[in-house]
Amino acid sequence: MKHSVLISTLHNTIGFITLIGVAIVIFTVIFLFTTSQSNEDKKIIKEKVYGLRRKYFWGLTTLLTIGFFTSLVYLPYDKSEKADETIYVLSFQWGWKMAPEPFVSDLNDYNGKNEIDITANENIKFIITSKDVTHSFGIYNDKGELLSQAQAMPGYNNELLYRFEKKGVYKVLCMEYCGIAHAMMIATINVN
Amino acid sequence: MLALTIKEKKQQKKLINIWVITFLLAFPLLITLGLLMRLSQGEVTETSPIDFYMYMTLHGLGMIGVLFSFAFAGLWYLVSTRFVKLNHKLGYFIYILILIGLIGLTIATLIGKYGPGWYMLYPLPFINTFWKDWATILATLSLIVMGVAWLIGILHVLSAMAKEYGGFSNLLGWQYLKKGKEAKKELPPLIMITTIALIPGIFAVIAAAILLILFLMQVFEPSLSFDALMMKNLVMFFGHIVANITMYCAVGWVYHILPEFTGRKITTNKVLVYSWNATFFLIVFAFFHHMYMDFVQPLPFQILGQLASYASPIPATAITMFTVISQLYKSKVNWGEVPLMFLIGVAGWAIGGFAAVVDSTIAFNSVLHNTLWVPAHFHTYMLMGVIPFILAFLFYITSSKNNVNGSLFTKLGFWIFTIGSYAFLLMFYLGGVKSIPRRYSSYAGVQLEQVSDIGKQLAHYASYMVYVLLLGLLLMYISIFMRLISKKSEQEYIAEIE
Repeated sequence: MKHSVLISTLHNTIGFITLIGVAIVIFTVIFLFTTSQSNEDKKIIKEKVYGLRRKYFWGLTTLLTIGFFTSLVYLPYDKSEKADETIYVLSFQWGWKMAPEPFVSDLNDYNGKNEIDITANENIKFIITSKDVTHSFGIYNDKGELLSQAQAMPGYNNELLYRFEKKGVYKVLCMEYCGIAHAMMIATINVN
Repeated sequence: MLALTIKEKKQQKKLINIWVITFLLAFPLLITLGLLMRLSQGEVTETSPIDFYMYMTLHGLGMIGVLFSFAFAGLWYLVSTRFVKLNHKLGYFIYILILIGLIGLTIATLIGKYGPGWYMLYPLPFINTFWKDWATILATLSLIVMGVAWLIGILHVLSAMAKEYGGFSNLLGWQYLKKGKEAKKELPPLIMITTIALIPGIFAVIAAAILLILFLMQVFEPSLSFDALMMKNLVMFFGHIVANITMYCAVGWVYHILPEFTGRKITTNKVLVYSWNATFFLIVFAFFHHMYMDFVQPLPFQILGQLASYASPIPATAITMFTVISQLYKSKVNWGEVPLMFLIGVAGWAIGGFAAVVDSTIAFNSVLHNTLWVPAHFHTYMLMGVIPFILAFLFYITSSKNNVNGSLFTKLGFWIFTIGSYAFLLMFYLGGVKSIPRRYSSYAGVQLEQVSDIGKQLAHYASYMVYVLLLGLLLMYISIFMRLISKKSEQEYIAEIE
């Protein structure tokens, strides 16, 4: 499946799962309102609720265990996959410098641009840092969907591997509050 | 039941009344700051980024400060009037310290324009700031004063309870786990939950103290610099725990108060002890989920963050929420204000918690972190969880027990508040699904049409919803103030708890 389709599916899945959760809660609240005035022996009620709780406990634990291990397959931290190209990303108040050349010892002297060209269907390794405060490198497609992100923290290099499967113009927005012009930090990635 | 003189009861009642009035005044003012932010993002009003971030900082720090302080004050009141004598003079001292802290924060932000957000993410308060050093110093000192107040209060409550119940292990309910032995003295669930909620509070305050002292050191010696990842771990440890235990303090009230309305007593047993002791660890370790996008954070911490977050709903839902279900199911309860608000609060906790677990999934966090999904879930947790609990508590302590069905006027207010709040929250959730970044003073300049259009529209709609929830709040306020000033209810109340 194409990544763009996957990403829409991911956002929809998140919305859908949450809707199910909300529906269960609303159903329970309505159930409690509607049953609250009827009569039943206290002992039977206790047995019923405890019986249901036992089933719920095991059901929930199983579901969470499956969900936990399944989700670990999709961790964004995999460093074993080979990168076809490496892009260094220097963030600063308030902009981005991107280039294939490694960082220099004094980050003030680092040369890079806020618009780069890269090739589609290649594994791109972004090595991300910050010159001043913490920023966050968020990659958006032309539909305004957030595809992936990693923090840009002073003193650290975060490595984000990403594969652009579709040609087009991608934007980078800052995802961590970094001061007065946080909303203005933008860069462009042209995927050819 | 605790033997207290009428004078002692009145002293504690007076203290909680002062807290109630403080909360009632501060809460809508802090909401107004949030409204101003949404109005600005919705391009209804024009707000400079400086003012926006100043509002954001006061809204966040103020809400955390007021809500946790009130949740703690509520526990103090219940514990001191029902179970263990607490020093009311110390209670006033703590109140004054917290008030000084809140006033200090207000001056640092509204006048000093201090604006690094509640989390003051290091080194943001020190680089290219739009505020002066004095604002950083004042805000830091104010937070230290509040932290000291919380620490004194927590230590006093815990030590008084430990003395009464024979040590800390008894407060944690461990005597119920010993085979063949009956617990000598019955441990009320409220006391165990208070213990479980407040001990992590001590850890949180210590983490904040370290952070804030390092802040002060850097203000006075600008050549210093500290490790950004360590500082972020410290602030998230503090913030996560305080937000989390605000809820758990309020959950303690539910365990104690709801049975008074359903006639079904909740007693401590093994399952409850295991469940709440597990919760203790989950409160302490779940904070790692705030650092998923810091790829340099050691991997075991990332996994631990998701594990603790995934485990959290097990005791929360299977034990506490099922306890609430077993309280209400076919209970013939009169749906007065208190049980109604507790039930809606538990529902809000469940919904906010569910959305939080979704976000705590590392794979989802890549596309949700720092989008509007984050304020969506914690606003649900606070606005539709903690706040209904607080409202229930307010009606509980100000109402006569003869008024079993509550007033229609108040309940109408509450339903308007609930509908307005969920409609307001929906805009955050939609923003999260639509990848709208949070903490943007304006979406107008974003060179990505969908983000700028949707971000603006959702903020605009959300601002209308704030008016709706404020209307609901106003109706409830009228009702609470009438009861607060009514001498009759005061006398009735004193008679009832005698």
